[in-house]
Amino acid sequence: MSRILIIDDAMFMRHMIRSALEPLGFEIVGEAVNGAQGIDMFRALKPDVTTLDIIMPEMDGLEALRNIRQEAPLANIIMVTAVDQRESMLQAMRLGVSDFIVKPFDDDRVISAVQKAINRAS
Amino acid sequence: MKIIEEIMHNVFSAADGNLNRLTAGRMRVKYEGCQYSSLEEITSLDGGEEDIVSGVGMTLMASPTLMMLMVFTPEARLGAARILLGEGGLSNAELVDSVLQEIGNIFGSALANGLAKYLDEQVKTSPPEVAMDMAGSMLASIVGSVPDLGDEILLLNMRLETGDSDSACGIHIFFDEKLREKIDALPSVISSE
Repeated sequence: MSRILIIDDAMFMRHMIRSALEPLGFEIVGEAVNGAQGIDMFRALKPDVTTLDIIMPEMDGLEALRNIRQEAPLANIIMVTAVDQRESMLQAMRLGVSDFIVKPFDDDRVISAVQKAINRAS
Repeated sequence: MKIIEEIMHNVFSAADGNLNRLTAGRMRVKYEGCQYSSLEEITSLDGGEEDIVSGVGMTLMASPTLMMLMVFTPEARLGAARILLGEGGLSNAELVDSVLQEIGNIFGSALANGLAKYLDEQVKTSPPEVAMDMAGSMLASIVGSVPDLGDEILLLNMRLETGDSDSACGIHIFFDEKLREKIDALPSVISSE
């Protein structure tokens, strides 16, 4: 069973990702509401895949991604972005993310991105 | 007015596509037109109503200033939450507010990008904020926060279609004098390019 960490300040987005993945047997091991909390949970939980929103208060997704990459260069991270965040997406690509999910998204897109990330890791 | 109508048709088409994607086709928006309204008129109309509504406010451009307030009637709030959360999620007010924020994000992004394209301005959106209050109070709060606000705001009328029912929604657009002048100076017809 693959273990997933969700980092997103929007409760509905966390709810959507959880609702898409849990019925398929993925275990949601944690939900963080900003980058700083996400880094702490990543260290403690060591998830197989992390979904990471870009725009968040306190510490955004790009800064969290840099921190996580320093500690875990091969971590499977899927960035969650909006259509108009092209510059941020480019920065995230340079930092080496597994995939992007562009908001608004449907359940199939979340499942596909997570499954691909897990397949690549194995 | 014609140019704004054309821009708004494009904006709502983009928003409807994203709403369709988010809800797997279970929620659509029907644009019903727009009109300028004087601040005095808006305040007297909305401030006189006692109904508590939900509003999603966000900044779309910082300089010049462009802000929006999307107002959901109690029926629209309930309909949107039911579609996206199911009956089980309706009791969680924070989660319902988060649904409205996401819908506000969809319309805010479409409006910001649509208007920025024609006005040649930079989009700078803020995270959407949700409040529950009388519409007049929310409008007054935004009016007080926009520097150099003109005498009129733009009111967009729409209906949110959620399954078997649909509910009225409105988006109030606030802009400063500089932006209003740019809107008024737009050509009367959008180029086909």
